[in-house]
Amino acid sequence: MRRGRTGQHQPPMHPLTSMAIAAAAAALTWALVPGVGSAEPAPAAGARSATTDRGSYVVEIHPSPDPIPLNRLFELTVSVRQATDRSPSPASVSLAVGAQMPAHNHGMNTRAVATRTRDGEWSVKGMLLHMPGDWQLIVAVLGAGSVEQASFDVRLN
Amino acid sequence: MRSARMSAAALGAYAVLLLATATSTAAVTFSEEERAAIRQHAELPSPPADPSNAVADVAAAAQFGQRLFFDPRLSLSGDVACSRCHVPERSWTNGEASVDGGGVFPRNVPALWNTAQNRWFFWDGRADSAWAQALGPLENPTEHGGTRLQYVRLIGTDPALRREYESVFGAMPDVSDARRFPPAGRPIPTQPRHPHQVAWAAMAASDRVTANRIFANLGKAIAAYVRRLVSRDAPFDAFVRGLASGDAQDLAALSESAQRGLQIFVGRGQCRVCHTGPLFSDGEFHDVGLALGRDKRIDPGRWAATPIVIRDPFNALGPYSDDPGRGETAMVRYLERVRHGIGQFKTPSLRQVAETAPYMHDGRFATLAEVVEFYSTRAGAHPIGQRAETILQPLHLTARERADLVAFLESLTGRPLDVELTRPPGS
Repeated sequence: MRRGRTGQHQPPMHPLTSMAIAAAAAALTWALVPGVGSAEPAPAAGARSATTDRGSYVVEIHPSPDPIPLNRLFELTVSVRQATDRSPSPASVSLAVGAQMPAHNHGMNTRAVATRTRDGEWSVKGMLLHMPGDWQLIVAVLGAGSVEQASFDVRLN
Repeated sequence: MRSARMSAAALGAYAVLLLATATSTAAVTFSEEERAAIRQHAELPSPPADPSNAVADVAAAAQFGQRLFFDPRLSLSGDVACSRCHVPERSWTNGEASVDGGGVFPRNVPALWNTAQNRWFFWDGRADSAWAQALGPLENPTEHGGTRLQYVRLIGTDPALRREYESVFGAMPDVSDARRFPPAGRPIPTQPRHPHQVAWAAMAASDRVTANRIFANLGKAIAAYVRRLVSRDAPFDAFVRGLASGDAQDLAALSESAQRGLQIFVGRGQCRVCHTGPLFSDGEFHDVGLALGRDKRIDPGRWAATPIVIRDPFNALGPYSDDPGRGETAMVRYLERVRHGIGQFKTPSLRQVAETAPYMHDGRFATLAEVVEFYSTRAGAHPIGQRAETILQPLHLTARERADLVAFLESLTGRPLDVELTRPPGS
């Protein structure tokens, strides 16, 4: 049994699920290294929909509150759909979300927690963009043994 | 003749009307973008709610906390109160480079102004609430040096303190049995043979919870008092009002030099990137290249403190929080130790900064001029982490620009606190 931060017992996670989430997190960490990332140019600042870098998924983000506040916690609703037919991504797909400031060489000081709410949709909590300037939100999608990512430019004044 | 007098009177009245409605402009011309940036710093809001502390805004709790703050019996020696280092006459710090707060690295005493506006506490963020922060020094061997059991028994055996405690928190359990509540004891898991740990471990689990709850309540009372130490009405705030209204008196609150300094602050100085908002701090952590101490040791800062606050039973998610998990006080749930946290320290607020020398986490800079010189030249900066603030490049400010920036920082000093808040209640 795993013991969470509050000391409450939690049911064990399936090993494959653990590996999948770890892989997605690793991919996100890799993507947040400066100079490494999507081969495709990021969509224009303010865009809320983007195709992943390998073209398999279309990712939409909806922040709350909107617009994204400076240095206040906010949430994201993220939908991931198959690029081919726009059907929701299957249950086997998992998600990791982060952000970085390319000009500052650092990311967020928090770790966002993505919780699946239904097929193809996640609620992401713990997002914090603590500095004004240009940020890149990165959504890493792990599915079918591969990791793809979509990025969104956000400017905070 | 009569019509001429009337015309003159009308002209005079018109001139008076013009003068009365004329607006002034600042000595320095600010662009719209600069004005928008300046407005973001104006008027500190009221302290935000703290769901983890049910008595944060209770007057009786604040009075009790004020009494505790000035009581030297909350220490091993009996002569160290919180006010020993958080000196009211020294702007709630002590004017010294450092007190060995962490027990290992030198740390400057943070001034207590606007504490309630913070998200994280201590230079390294090892606590996530003002009440949890208050508990740390009480048990730090190099600060107050006491233990929670000592303080619990003090409250339980002093009739006046007990009455005041119970007026806020309700009936206090009987802690007089020294076999159940020994005279000294606190958890030190890393030192299982330490007498304090031995005494603590020997207690019944339910008695440990009782002691922790009383101890937490002492922190909550102190936090309720410290919450009232709010800076107000700085010349900068008046100036911002003047920018909007054109009021000459408000615009005159900042000298021309300070106005030029403000322009640097929100402009090419990029100070506002970390010193954001009305608090002039983002409340977060950055490696500005000062983790390497004068003694050549690297202070890990936030990196070392992250597991401390995550594991702290007194954090916002813990059993002694009055509403675990709510609001931004529960930000600890989204915290994890990251490599880029190494060498990071919390952005200090710049409100009242002219009164709180020396500066930086270890008090290495004696004056604001030295701080500005550091950011102007970046001489002596040694970024440690992989994710140091790369936007921090030398500003190459002229001597006049450095003086202007200091003049602006000096304009962030508000009016003095009510003297009743600066001494024990009723004294």
